[in-house]
Amino acid sequence: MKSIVFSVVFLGVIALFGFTKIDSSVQVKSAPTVAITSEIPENIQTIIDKSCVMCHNTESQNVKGKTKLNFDKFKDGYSVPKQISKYMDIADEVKETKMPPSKFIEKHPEKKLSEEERNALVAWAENMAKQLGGE
Amino acid sequence: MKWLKRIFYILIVALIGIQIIPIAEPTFSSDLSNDFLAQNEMPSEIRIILKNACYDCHSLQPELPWYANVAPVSWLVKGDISEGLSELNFSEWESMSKIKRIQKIESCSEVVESKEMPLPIYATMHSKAKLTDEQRTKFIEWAENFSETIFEK
Ligand code: HEC
Repeated sequence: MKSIVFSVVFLGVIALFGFTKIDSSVQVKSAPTVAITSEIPENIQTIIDKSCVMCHNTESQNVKGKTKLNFDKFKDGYSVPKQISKYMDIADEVKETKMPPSKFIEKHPEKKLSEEERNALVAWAENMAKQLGGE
Repeated sequence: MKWLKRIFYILIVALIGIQIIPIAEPTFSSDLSNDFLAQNEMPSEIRIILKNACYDCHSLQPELPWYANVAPVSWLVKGDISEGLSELNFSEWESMSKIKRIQKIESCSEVVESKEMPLPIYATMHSKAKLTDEQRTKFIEWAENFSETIFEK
């Protein structure tokens, strides 16, 4: 009898953990949607200025970084398909927490993005790509 | 000399032994219904580049030499293929969204230009995958055009 009660409680706890896990993964997916505008919304600009732009603009010393992504080129330089591809790259890199680079974050912990900031940046970049691609 | 022989035998046994270590293998498939080369028109020089320099790691129809199945080479090869496939899989091209296809073809153009791809170690081992500068230029031009075509559809 004792062991049955124990198993039920045990299974219950596992199920609870299981469900909370599923819950949290759903939350990550339903990132806040950002209104579609051609100008960068202020909250997004703040995130980019804080954690990305120093390596990804024309003046940056980081040659590899600015070759792969240059925020200055969205206004002038990138074709529309190229812009779509860069927005998709941003979404992928930020989703996988590959950017900003972890070495950089170790040195400048204040530049780390919160989960909320990450979600906002990803949702914005995905929306821009969809909007430009007519999807 | 005696111990040299002994080391040799130990190495042989080890080489045989490591063959049974299981590795995560990508599942290959001959289904071409979503395959990039099978479903799209392009100049034959581009088709040849894709087949020879890209498809071994970025499709489910790789043409691997026999030793690619022998450990420890297989660990490196299958690892690279898994990583390659997770980045881009030409065998599922037609099932990708329009913006995903644009992203991938633009990336193809960029990594060929920067010479990140084909992987230098792979190109060293496979002469078929070595690209001349002229081939790279042609590929980049074609990729940019192809991207515009997807965009305008
Ligand atoms: C400390 C400098 C630095 C910061 C800060 C930084 N990046 Fe990067 N980024 C790089 C470098 C270097 C590369 C090239 C990496 C490589 O190819 O290995 C790169 C590559 C990229 C790429 C292209 C990836 C690819 O392979 O296609 C994207 C997209 C990107 N970064 C987005 C961002 C975003 C978004 C932020 C801010 C949230 C950011 N980066 C912050 C240095 C930086």
